[in-house]
Amino acid sequence: MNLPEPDRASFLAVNRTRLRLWEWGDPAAPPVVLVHGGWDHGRMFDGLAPQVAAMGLQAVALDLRGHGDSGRLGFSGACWVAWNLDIAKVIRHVSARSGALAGLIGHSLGGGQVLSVASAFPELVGWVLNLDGLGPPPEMMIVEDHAAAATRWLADAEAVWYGPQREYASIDELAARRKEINLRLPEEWCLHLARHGSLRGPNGGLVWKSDPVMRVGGPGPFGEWALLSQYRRIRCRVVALTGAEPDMWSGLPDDAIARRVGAMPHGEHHAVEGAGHYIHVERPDIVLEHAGRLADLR
Amino acid sequence: MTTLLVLHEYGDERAAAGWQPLVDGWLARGGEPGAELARGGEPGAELARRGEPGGEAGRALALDLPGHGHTPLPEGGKLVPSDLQLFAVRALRDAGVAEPPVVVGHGWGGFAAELLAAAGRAAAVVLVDGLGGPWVSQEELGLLNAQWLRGVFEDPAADSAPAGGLDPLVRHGFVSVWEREFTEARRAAVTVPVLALETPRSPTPRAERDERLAAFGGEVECEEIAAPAAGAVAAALSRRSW
Repeated sequence: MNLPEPDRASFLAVNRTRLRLWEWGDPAAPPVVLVHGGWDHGRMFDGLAPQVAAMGLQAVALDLRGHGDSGRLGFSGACWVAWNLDIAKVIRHVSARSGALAGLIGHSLGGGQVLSVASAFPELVGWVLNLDGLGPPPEMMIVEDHAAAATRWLADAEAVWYGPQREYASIDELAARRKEINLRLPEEWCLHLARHGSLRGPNGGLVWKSDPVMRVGGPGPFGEWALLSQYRRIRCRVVALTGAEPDMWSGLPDDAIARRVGAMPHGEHHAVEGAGHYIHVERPDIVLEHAGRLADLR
Repeated sequence: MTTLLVLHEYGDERAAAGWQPLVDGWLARGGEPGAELARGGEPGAELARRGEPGGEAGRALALDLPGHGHTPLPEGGKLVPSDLQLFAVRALRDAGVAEPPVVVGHGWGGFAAELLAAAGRAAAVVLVDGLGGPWVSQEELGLLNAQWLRGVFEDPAADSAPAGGLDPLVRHGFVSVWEREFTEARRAAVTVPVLALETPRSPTPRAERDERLAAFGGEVECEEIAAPAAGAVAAALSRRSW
C-alpha cells in the first residue's frame, strides 16, 4: 500500500487543547472535515482524503482529543460535548479560509459526532456523509442494573488510572491486535494505522496513542431518544452509508436505521455492497460518489 | 469513626471553604481539634482538601471541585457531571480513605454523592438541595445540550484556563440530567441511608419532592432547613448516629 503523506500537518490550539490537523488540497477550496472513529486517528483517511482533495475540495482530517497526536482527555472518556466543540471550532477555522460551509464526513463514533455538530451548529455545516455512525443498537443503550454498572464503572476507571498501559513488542504485533478486532480491515491498513497510531511507552515497547481513559465512560441520561432528538434538528442533507457485509462494530438493525435516518429532515440511507464497518477503506468509490453529489460536484 | 466527605455546589465561588464549619464540627464530634487546609498530592495540583488527615477519632474532607478554588479543571478543560464522582474517588484514594465515607453533596455535589452511593462508595448520603431540578423531557434535553454547546462556543473567555478562582467554563454550568426515567432507575440503586435537606432555594419543585424521595432504594428522610449552610447541615447531622 503506497499512500501519499498529507500535504500539510499542523496543530490547532483550540478549546483548551491541541488538535492535530492533516490537510490535503487547496486551503482556499470548500472544506471537508473528516472525523475518525473511536480509538482511531486522522491518518485513517490517508486513502480517501487525497481523492476528496482531487475533487477540488480542501480535505482536513483531525485527530480527536484523546487520539493520535492531539491533547488528552482528563478524568474520563465521557467527551461527547468536548469533541462536538472541538470539531465546531475546527470547522470555523477551516471555513474562514474559503468562506464556504463545511462538508462533514464521519466514520463510526466520528459519524455520530458530525451528526451532533450538524444538529447544534447548523449554520456551519453544508452536508454530512455518515459512514456506519448512526449510534449503537438500542439494546446496548439500556442499563439493566445501575448498581452493578456504577460499581464496574469505578473499578474500570481505577484500573485505567493506576494500572500500566499495555506495551507491544513491534508494529507487526500492534497490527495483529488490530486485525483481531477489525476482521475485514486489510492487513496493510492495520499496519498503516499501527504505524501512525503508536509511540514508545515508558518501558521501551510500543503503546497505542489513544488515551486509555477512553475506556472510562460515564452515566448520564441517554438512549435512542437522545439520537432522534438531535437528528430532528439537522437542517442539511445527510447521506448515511452502512456496510452490507457482516462485520464487527456493525449490525444496526434495519428498523433502527429507518427510525434514525427517518428522523432527519433531509436524510437518506444506502447499504453498500462489498463493505463492512470500514466503508471508506473497502468502497472508497461509493463514498466519493456520494461526497461529490452532496458537494454538488456531480 | 466514619470519614466525612463534602462536595460543594458546582459554580459556588466559596468552594470548599464555605463548608469549613461542617468539617470542623464533624472533627470536633470525634474529639479532634480544628481542621487545617491541605493541598496537593496525587494527581498533583488537582486536589485541595480541607480537613485533618490524622487520628482514629475522625476524618473529614471538603474538596474544591475542578474549576473552583485551588483546583483547576483537568487537562483540556473537559468536565461532565459524572466526572465529579471520579474526582472524589481520586481524592479519597489520595487521602488514604478506604472505607466508604458519609458524603454531603450540595446541588451537583449531591449528584456525585448519589453516584458514589450507587457504586457502594458511600456509607450514607446527605443531599443539600440535591433532589434535582425540574424534570426535563427527553426532547428538551437535546435542545438544552445544543444551547449549552452554542453558549460555550460563542464565549471567548471559556477557551482558556484562568490563573485561579472560578473557571469561566464553570459559569456555563452543566446541562440538566434530570430526566425522570434515568433519575429514578439510578436512585433505585442507592440503598444506603439518604437524608435530604431542602431549603427555600431548592431547585426541586415542592410538589415533586415526595416522588423524588420515593425513588431511592433504601431508607430516606427529609428535613427542611433555612439555608444551604454548613451550620444547618451540621445540626442535622448531629441528630444522626452515622
